[in-house]
Amino acid sequence: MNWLTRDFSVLFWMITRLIACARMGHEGRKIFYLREIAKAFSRIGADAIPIVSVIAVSIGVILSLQAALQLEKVGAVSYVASLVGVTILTELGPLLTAIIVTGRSGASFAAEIATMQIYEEIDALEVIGLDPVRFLVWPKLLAMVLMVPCLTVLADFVGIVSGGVFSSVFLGIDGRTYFQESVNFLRLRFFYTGLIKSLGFAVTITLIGCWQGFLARDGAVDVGLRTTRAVVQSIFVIVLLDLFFTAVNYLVRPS
Amino acid sequence: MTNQRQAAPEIRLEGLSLSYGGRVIIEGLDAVMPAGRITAVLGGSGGGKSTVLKCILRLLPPLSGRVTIGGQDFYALSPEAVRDWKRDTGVLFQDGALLGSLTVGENVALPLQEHTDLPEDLIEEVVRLKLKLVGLEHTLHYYPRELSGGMRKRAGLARAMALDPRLLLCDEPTAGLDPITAAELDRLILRLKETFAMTIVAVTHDLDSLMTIAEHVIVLHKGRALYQGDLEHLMTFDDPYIKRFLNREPDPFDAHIMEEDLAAATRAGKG
Ligand SMILES: Nc1ncnc2c1ncn2[C@@H]1O[C@H](COP(=O)(O)OP(=O)(O)OP(=O)(O)O)[C@@H](O)[C@H]1O
Ligand SMILES: [Mg+2]
Repeated sequence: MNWLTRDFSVLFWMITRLIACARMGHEGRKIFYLREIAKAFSRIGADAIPIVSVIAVSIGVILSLQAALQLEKVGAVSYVASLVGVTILTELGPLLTAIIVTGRSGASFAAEIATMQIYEEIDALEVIGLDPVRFLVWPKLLAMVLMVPCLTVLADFVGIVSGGVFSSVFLGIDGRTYFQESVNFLRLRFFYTGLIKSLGFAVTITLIGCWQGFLARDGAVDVGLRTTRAVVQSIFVIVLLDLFFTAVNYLVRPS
Repeated sequence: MTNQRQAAPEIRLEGLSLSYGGRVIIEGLDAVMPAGRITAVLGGSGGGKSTVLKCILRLLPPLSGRVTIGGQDFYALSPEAVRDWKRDTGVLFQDGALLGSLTVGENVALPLQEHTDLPEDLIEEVVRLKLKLVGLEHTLHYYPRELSGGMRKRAGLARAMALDPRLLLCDEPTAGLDPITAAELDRLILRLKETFAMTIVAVTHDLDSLMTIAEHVIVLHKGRALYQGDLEHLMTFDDPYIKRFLNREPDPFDAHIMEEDLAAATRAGKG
């Protein structure tokens, strides 16, 4: 039980320092903080665009195929558009983006901070007078909170468009009908739901990744162990959060 | 940095006990590290030297006892005083602890950017100066991974010296270096002390280094200070452990066991 209290006190420490970061003013605009923030944005956001796009295309195609398979039995192929759209906007867009980001960024947060912990770099930061949380976690959190929703929008867009293109070329659904169907059926609410989820996922991935990194203690083995834990725990919490959001959304749905 | 330079501080450890999660490493340690002098902390591997240093860096609160720096209880300072103290303290970690994501120049610039409002071009000027001090001016744009171990340590020293500290703490400055580089680093530390009038604490188990730089010596053994005083006195001090340490002899008991183990291992290998 001792390690449990220690682990959670580290999490608590991180969160209180992050709250302090959110409150700071002029101090936070020092050049090296800005540099760290810029780095985080390009690594988390820009560098993830290709992989997110490729997976979104595949998901768009898979969903329209699956939908067509089922719907043609009841003669309702024209509903492919709405099914694909809703599924991507509310569920698969945010979820898959979050899982990709967990694998790319969450894992690298944990590995980076764990390595720094082992090589005394975190101690060095403290001793110089730089808050490790402000220097390492805050830039990542900022970038994640902005970039994960952006990547989700990208995934939504690419997924829906590729579903449409695929349906019109291979499933014989007229492109204009597909578009019309999407416009008629999809609500802005679906889109927002997805974005809110992705915000929650972004915070989750950052907190768990960095937290596991700070927990690393002894040697290179711990870096691998913490990275694995960061990914597994993130995905677990993401799915739970998704369940929670979806349940809330179901309960408060407009009749 | 232009403000009045305060005198180098004295560090006092009073009945200090340190532990990691219940395992006590240091017990009731009393020691003084005098102002404006070089103190060498000596001791066997795993003897708790780095642990004591960690405590002096505010990274490990004591289980009991106090650390006073310049007469003030170190773990009861106000946040502002802590900040001032961090500005006035330079630390050289065992492997340099340069941030791997930044260049050497950016590493040395960090303390300056954090604690001063100097414009960027002036900071770069100071960084060049500090790197020159340790003979690394050509590595400004290198990343730490592109440096050798000895260069990383010197770069770490440049970073520690960035704000002209009053107190310099070094964890094994010469461990793992070849004799020439080690001697250079020792000379550098001596020169720094003479130029900047600092209190320097160096953890070491390197005897050559000890002979060169130490003015005051603390020998740690089994969680306590076995010896405290000047270097000359240490040479004639009558204690079996210190004698063995200085003469580089193995522990007679351990040596006996090791020989038996070795013999057993050889037998097992043959049989
Ligand atoms: N983070 C830690 N958690 C738990 N125990 C630790 C930790 N760091 C060190 N120890 C233990 O504390 C003891 C003293 O370690 P310390 O690093 O202070 O030794 P040292 O004198 O610096 O040795 P060396 O000369 O090899 O650097 C060792 O037994 C070590 O196992
Ligand atoms: Mg050590």
